[in-house]
Amino acid sequence: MLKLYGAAAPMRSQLLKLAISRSNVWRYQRSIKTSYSFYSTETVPTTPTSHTVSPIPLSIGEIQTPQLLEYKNYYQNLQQTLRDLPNEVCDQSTALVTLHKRLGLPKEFTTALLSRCLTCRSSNLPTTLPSTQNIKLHKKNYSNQQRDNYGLNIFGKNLLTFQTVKYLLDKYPRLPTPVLNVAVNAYISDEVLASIVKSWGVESETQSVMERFLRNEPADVTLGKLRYFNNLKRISDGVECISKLNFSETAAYSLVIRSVIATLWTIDEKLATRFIDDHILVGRKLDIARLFEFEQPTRELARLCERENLKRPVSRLMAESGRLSKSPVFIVGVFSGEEKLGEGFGASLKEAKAKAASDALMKWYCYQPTKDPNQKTVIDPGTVIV
Amino acid sequence: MLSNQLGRSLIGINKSCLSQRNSLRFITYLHSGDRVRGIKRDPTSYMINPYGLTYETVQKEKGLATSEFFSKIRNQLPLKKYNIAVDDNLLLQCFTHKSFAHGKVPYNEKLFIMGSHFLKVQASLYSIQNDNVKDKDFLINGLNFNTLGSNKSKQILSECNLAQLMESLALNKLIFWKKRNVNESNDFNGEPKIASSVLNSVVGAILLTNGVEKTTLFVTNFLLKNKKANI
Repeated sequence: MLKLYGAAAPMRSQLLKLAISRSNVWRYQRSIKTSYSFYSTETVPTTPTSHTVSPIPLSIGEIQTPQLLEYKNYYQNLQQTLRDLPNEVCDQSTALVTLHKRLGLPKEFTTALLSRCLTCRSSNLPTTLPSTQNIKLHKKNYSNQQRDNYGLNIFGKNLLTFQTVKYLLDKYPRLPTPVLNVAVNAYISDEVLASIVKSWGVESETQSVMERFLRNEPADVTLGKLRYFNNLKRISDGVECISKLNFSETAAYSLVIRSVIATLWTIDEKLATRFIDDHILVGRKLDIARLFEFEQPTRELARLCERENLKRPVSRLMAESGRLSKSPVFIVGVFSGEEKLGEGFGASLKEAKAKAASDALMKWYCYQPTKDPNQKTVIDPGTVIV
Repeated sequence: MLSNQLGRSLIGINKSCLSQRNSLRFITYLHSGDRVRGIKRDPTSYMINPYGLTYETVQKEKGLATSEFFSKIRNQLPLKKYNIAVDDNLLLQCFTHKSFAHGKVPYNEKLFIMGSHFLKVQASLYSIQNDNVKDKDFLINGLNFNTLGSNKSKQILSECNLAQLMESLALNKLIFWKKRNVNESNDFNGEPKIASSVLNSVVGAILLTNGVEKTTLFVTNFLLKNKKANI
């Protein structure tokens, strides 16, 4: 499916380009021959493993051009490297080594594992070259690539969500659930995680396999980049290919950090916890108070006092200035018996009263326990339902 | 007229007394039966769970060794076996859902959040550790991450399985909750979800009061290795 946007003229020219490239492929197909011999154009050696990639099928065979065979060879080599992620090749990747150093990862966290964290399942290259066969790529056309971050992401997400919720509830045990959810999102939403990963200097692979082949780019270059799309076609302005296997760049970036956390956990639990604290939780200030908005603060406060067996809240005017001027100020305090629960100011008595009640509620919901280990754990009885 | 202003009914008061403020007595009328807008409801009519268990009786039993409610919970969820101490107040909070009594009494929402996230981590951990794979080439430090996301791993400690476990332990009748529609079945009213949330919140309560180690032990041995919970 093609998603078209932008002005109509560039769109038309892009479609024209695609049509031309397609016709070139057809011209090649007519002269392909079934019998062909591989000759290596490898720039980086890959270690032979038990998982050999089956040769790319040539259905309409009969042509044999050296360029096409070179491309096939390059493609196959790339596919095998991505599937096996050999340590020797990964260690040669400058991007991987730099990222490893920058994050201060332990030795057990090999560059091959780091490269696996950068490999999304959607980047799986099809076993059939789509440019040689004019067929719609089906699920069966993809090899069962196992070294990706799919499972790592799920585990990392579970770990990260638990740690974040625990961190927030330890700090503010009485946060109402909607506020808690927003706060959790503010720490670990896809956008936030993606921005962290981008700040590490991770780049995404945007070049198509053909472009990489034409530049004779070694396979280790792509190993250090985030691969979330199989990059068989060129991403051109105005034309974007959308399929189920493809997803947004932001989501892909967020997978990286979750996978890194999961991989660190396999080495040592404490390493993962410290990594989460260092990169995500501690040092990123979130103003919880700004997430609140009370619709009926006085009513809610009255319900809260009733539930907590406190005396009914009473609002009292504490100070005022310029009642008969155009900008009066009233200061109202809300009391439960002798205890003052909150205070607020406003240009009218009503506003000041509502602000005082909101203040009292904020003090209840944003309560922070002391760090004294002798203090009993605070268990939240639940948000007041008005 | 005064009674209208105050929104309360006055019973047994002579009109002549109304002018003398000191002798004024208020008696609140509590309504039971069909709901009437603006009239206070009698707590005994709504502080009761769908199976007829009243909140008041359970509250009176708090701290008593002879309490049927608390002893049943402690026996069925073998808290003693794992050396876990949870007080009665917290246990009652775990067994109270947000829908009950319009949130007047402590309910389990926050405990559920804590417990469910902890259980998710434990379930995924169990899944990656206990998967028999022939091809060990793709493992990371002996753990098979490729099993995550499969239907099998999603089923571990799923809502449905936990609800079944609660039913087999006969604990679902002890939960305080309110039906959305009394004329419909329990499933329509979401009983499985409420039952599983109770088990999640028990885990959350144990986590908050007894620490990670004891909770992990409880979850692994009682829930993950339990065939009823982990089909």
